[in-house]
Amino acid sequence: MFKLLRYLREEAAICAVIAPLMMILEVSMDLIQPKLMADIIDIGIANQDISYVILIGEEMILAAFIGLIGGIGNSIFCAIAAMKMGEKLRQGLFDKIQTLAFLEIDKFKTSSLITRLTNDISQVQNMVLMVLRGAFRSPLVCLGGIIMAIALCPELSLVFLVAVPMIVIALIIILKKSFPLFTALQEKMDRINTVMRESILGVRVIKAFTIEERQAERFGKANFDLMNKGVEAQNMNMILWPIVTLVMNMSVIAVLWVGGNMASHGTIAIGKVMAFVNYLIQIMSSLIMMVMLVLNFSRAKASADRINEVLHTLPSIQDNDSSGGMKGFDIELKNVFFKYNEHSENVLTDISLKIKEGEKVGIIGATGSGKSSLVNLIPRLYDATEGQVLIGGIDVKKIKLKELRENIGLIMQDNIIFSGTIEDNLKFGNCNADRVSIDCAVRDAQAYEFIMEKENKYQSLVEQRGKNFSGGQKQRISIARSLIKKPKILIMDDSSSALDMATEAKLQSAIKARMVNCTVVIIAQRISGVMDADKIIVLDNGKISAVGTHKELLRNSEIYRKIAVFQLGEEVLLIG
Amino acid sequence: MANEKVMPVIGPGIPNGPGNRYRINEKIRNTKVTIKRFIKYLGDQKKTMMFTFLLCLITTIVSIIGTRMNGESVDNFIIKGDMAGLYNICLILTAMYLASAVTTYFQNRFMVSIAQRTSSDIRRDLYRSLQMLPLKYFDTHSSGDLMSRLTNDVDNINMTLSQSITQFFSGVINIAGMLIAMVLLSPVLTLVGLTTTPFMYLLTKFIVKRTQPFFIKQQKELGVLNGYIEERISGQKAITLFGQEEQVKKDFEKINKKLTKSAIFAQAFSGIGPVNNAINNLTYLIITVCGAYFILAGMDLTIGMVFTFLLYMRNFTRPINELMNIFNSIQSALAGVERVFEVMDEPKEKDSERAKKVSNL
Ligand SMILES: Nc1ncnc2c1ncn2[C@@H]1O[C@H](COP(=O)(O)OP(=O)(O)OP(=O)(O)O)[C@@H](O)[C@H]1O
Ligand SMILES: [Mg+2]
Repeated sequence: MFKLLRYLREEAAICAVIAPLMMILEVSMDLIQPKLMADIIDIGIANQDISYVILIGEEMILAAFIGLIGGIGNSIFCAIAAMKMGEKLRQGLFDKIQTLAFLEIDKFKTSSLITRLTNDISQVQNMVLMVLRGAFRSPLVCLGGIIMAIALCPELSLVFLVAVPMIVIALIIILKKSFPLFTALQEKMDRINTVMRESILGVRVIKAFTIEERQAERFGKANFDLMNKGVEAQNMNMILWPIVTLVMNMSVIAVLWVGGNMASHGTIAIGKVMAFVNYLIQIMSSLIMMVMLVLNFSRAKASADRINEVLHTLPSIQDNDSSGGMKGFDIELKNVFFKYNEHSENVLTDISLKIKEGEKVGIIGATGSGKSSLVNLIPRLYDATEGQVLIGGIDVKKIKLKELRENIGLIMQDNIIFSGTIEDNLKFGNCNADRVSIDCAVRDAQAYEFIMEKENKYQSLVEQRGKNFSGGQKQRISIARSLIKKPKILIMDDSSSALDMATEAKLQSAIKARMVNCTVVIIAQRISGVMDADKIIVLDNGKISAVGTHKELLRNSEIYRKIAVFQLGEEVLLIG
Repeated sequence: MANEKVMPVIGPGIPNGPGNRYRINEKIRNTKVTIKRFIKYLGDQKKTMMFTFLLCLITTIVSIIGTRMNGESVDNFIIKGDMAGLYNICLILTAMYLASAVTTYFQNRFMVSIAQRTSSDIRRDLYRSLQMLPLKYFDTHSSGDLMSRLTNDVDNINMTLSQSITQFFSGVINIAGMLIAMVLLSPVLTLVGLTTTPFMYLLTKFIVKRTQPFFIKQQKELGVLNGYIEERISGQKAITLFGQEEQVKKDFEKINKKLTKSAIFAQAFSGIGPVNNAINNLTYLIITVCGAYFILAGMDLTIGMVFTFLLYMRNFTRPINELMNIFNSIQSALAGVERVFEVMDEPKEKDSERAKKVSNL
């Protein structure tokens, strides 16, 4: 929690200093009131002096007014401090997420990252606001009360020696227990949200496969866990309340009893006992305020921890001093092994291959065979676990990330497009693209027609996640988006899966014509998508099972032949 | 309880905390129907809830009586030197406070479990209804909004149930108790003290009305920000791939700054707290001055009575201020309940249609 205080800087820091000063102004004006009141009664009434009463009354109005200014000032500066800090923190976290590699994003999970950016930040921001508004007041009142009480009667003050440690110990014990509970609670929250997101975003799949029951079961379990953890965590905090009240109430009784006895022996004035009890009550109510704050603190702490967890993650893929430029575009994989995390199995096993600049290469293989994983290594979205990925003879780990990714156009399997206009999306990778090159790329991507059919053409609005576009349309927009980058290496990961055969064929010939001197790697489910390639790589269970042209593979590769026969019919064998 | 929110109204906070000030006073279309339907959700927990109210009543009354007895023990026993009496009253007080600690504990515990169970039931039912909605619904509604109902609104209900309801209840009892005590002490001073109450009410209303536009603006910008976060973080891989991190950071900064600006306005000028505080101070002033005047005018009033009256007044205005906050959070929770019910009431996909769709697939 305290680590996050470094985001309290600049204006925020200044305001965070002014705010409590304003609060002190307000509190001191509040404290003057009883004294002025006492003056009215002791002097005004005692002397039967009505004009004095009115004079002091005017002073009280003035004090109330100054207090009001202090209060409003405090409220304004608190708002500035907390909101500015929240802004800086949110920005810091967002910026940090921008530096994360795919590996870390996978680890944190998208939904959890979103929670951290939204809800967790708000929790911390609220905490700061509350601390600035109230935290100074309660300890001040509490401390002031204790000092006054000791000055009043040291003997009776012994009660604090018992009461204060008891409360402090209870507080520490309970907080220690509740921190982990709240962290666990947060995890359960993440869990249920993951299921929910899946169910909402993947509603088509769920309905298609009628797996609602199974989803509901998962949800039910997550929901049940969440409820139990919630009860556990909240109950822990709820203990604190009665404990604090009880301890303080018992102290009052002790003071009454001891003070009463002392008074009956004449060792203390009765008025002092009364005043002492009043202070005790004041201290108690400010203690309860503090407990409230602390209870919220444990919640905010869980949030702060989660924010810190992201902030302290070192991105696994980043430029370093030895990063340099690219020297060529031949791709080579040398004995590459890859797994997504330490504990899982190898997704790619001992892959070695070479793709010359300008070659057209197809990759084919069953689902889950590692095709996407393989191509993700080329623009260094993940690092190979073992072995080397070289481009132009240089290990990708030694190439500047920006340059590497500028030169490689990878069209990902799940087409992510963003809200905005179609043009915004097209220019995503190259904001300086001119109309001619956009038009050209859009035509090549076979997207021209449907875009022109839209009322606002390039300016048509794209909704969140491109909801208002069909799968095939999204696919073509994302193809065009990558083409506009004019990459030296184009990788299409199953990018024509949602297109009909005719459009796919047109797309392929357009790409071929466009990328004459560039490398093109095409992953496809359909053999028709890779048939014409200079070289086709057949992946099987993370291993290269065969490499060759369509004809060669029909002869040499059992797997390839099976796919071909299944998709194209027995006659392919005759041609081969 | 912190949780994941896709489109959160900035976190729930504690009932009296600043968290609630973030919320707009949402309009509830049909309060009665919503409450009735919600109460059905409590099901067999209604009995527990009644019991909790009973505990709450005990706790509150104990604290009111306890405060009185403190004063009385001084007047009746210490001054008279009646140590046996003091001993007895200390014993009674001890027993009362012990009992009240126990009732407080159970009252909180019960409310926590009622709240958690109810909100988990609602979450479950909402999820079930979601599953039965036709695909068209998902195409026409933002996923962020749906997520927000499942998380934000339900969590809000949970928070309100577990804390605000009992606070509201004990606040009302406290106010009533103090009012009775004040009237018993001096009807005239009570009248004087209450003169500022309508004033306070009007002023609060005025401020709320004036700050409403700021809140609405803040809420809207928060929605924009959360939408942006939701979409960009979901598409983070594309951003990385296209090397657009810097651009995205800049865009985010703009939205973030905009939100901060309106949030500061909304927060800074929602200053009901200090205004209330000032009015309270004025109330004490009026009571003191009038009290002084009455005494001087020879009315049947003593200085001690004025002092005690001021004490009561403090205990009277404090819960009133709290109640206003609590009321807001209850209201916004109800608005959440209504939004949840709205989804549940959406026309469901009919089985025949489903069967057709599946066979088409
Ligand atoms: N981000 C990830 N984290 C962990 N495991 C992953 C991740 N992505 C893929 N895998 C696993 O790696 C294996 C290979 O997946 P990959 O996506 O490379 O297959 P693919 O050949 O592209 O399949 P498809 O044809 O379905 O796209 C699978 O077993 C998959 O479960
Ligand atoms: Mg794949």
